[in-house]
Amino acid sequence: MRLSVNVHLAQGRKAVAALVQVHYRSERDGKHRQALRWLSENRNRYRGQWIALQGARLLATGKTAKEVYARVLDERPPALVVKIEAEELPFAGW
Amino acid sequence: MEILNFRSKHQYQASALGIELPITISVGAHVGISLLAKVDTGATFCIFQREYADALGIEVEGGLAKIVATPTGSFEAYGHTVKLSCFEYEFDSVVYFARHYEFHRNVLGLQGWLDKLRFGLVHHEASLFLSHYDD
Repeated sequence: MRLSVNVHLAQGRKAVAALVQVHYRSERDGKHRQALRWLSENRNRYRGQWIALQGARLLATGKTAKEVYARVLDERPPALVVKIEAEELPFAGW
Repeated sequence: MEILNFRSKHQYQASALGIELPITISVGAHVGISLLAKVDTGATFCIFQREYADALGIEVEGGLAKIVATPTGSFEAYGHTVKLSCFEYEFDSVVYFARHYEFHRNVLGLQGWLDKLRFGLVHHEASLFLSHYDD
């Protein structure tokens, strides 16, 4: 009987952990969608810079990734950090 | 007629920049970093800018060394095992980080990404279909 209760408790904890993970990813993916919309409208203003976004919120800009990450590493979910190239030529792939 | 089923469908930003997807890379207990990477079926590996390895605390040259060929030459990259997360999919992968900071591409290639998933694309509608490969 005790074993059965423990097994059920373990399964419950596992299910809760899985739900927390699903919620976390859902929140993160929602922020990513907002960030991509923001980028499609604003990326030209930040040519040559590293930028960090949390959703549609611009958190930091800088010449190097290091200085941008120094300001956003504590963000949860992690900020979307990208380098906006000074000139984005068509990509031929590899 | 063949019919494929997928677990999920996603819209990506249709632009001349390619099929760019937001991904999250983490190592150990690190919460991870998020970046944009291009889907590239012509790339053997997943390769990322060195700056992202630095942010994750990865010692780049401590990884598996590879020389990667491109149409205009070659470059050095180092493989590391990370947790790669994209939409609801998450798996351990060996990905590569460029040795030099001048490398400005982030690509999701065959090994480490496309070999973990089933992948469907309707670029005309900017639609991407995904499942785990064994789903």
